Amino acid sequence: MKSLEELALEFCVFELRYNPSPMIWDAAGSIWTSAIAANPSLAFALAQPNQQVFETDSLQLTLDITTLRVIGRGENALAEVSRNASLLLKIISEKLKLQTFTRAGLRIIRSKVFESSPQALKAAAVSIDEESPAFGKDARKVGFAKNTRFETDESGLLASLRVEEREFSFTIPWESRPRIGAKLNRKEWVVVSDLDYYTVGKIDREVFDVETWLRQAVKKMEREWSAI
Amino acid sequence: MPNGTVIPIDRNQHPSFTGMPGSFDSSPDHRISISVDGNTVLQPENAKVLTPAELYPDLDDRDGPVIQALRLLTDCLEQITLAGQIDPGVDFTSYDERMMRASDSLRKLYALRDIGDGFGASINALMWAIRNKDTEALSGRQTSTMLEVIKQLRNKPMLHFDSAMTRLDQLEDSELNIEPPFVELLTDLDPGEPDEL
Repeated sequence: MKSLEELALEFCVFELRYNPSPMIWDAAGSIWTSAIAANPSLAFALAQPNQQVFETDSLQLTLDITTLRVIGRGENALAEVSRNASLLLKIISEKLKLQTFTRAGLRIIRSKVFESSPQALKAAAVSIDEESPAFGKDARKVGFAKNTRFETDESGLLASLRVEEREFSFTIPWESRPRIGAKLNRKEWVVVSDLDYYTVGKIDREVFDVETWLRQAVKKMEREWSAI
Repeated sequence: MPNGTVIPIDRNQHPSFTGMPGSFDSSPDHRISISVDGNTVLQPENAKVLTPAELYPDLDDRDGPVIQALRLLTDCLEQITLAGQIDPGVDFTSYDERMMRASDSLRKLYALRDIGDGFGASINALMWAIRNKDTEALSGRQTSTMLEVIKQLRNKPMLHFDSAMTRLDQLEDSELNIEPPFVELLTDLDPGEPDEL
């Protein structure tokens, strides 16, 4: 499984860090009023002095005293994150009076679900027949991970290929148990591509265009992935 | 650890966002954990500030207006630099050709003015500065001021409108007229006498 297209886009996260901005205590209401005017589907999720969270079904926006974070999920996550990050960057640079950012990061997680670990390992081109030096022939390989991290003075990239087990467990409320049961459990095996591109140097606001930088980040990720 | 305490965290241990799946919890709304451990990560003061070339090293013109603008600003800078090396009194045709090429780049840059208010205002001023010179050549001081403004724009294309005003002042200080001719007519107009138009 070398091609990213074979994996479904699960999460896309853009994160922008800056030195602590006390302006957030004055400007939070104004920032979110502007954000909602531009994207009326945003719904309030959390508001505290140091952190506010607004959401849609496929998007979560978080602003705190040192960080802006835009998380998208689903197949349109990247486009939605790009559009909303660009919008919020304009608003917060103005209202929080930010001139320099200490770090920008894009993390994209893609995955494909399988019903068994051998299927997932095989799809990830991982050998399942090799013997464990520790446990011998009796042990089954049930997971795999390969990580690489490269950095320059300007930027860095962490690429990770994993085959992992995910378990969902939901406890059903007492009054619903006669119909549904006491617990809902689901187990699945997933091939995961986890790519995190970030800047190492500082970024001047007057140089930073989020949408352009995200395109740059995606290109870097695709190139790195082809080598993993 | 109290909030606001700055502790040095190895950046390599600090991905863009923590709490990713692999272990979904069963909280009612399934919100992803977004905590960054409550700590503030500060870069050392000597961390370098990235230039546009360092921030966008792998992109080409198809990758959006900012990248197109950076290329066109480089073209414009090159043409005005070459024009500045020609004595217009000796070879006006070559000088004029360079300036026309610079004007062509500026026209294309004007089409990219959505990049930002500061960018649009600076490009507009540069365009009119050249156009208002008509057949007169730029002085040495005017050439170097224009080159300086273009270089600054290339280094900070998303510049704030207020920063652009400083650049525009620089152009005017070198006796360049950066406004279209009809602006003077409009600003001279007495509000009580519309017939003057």
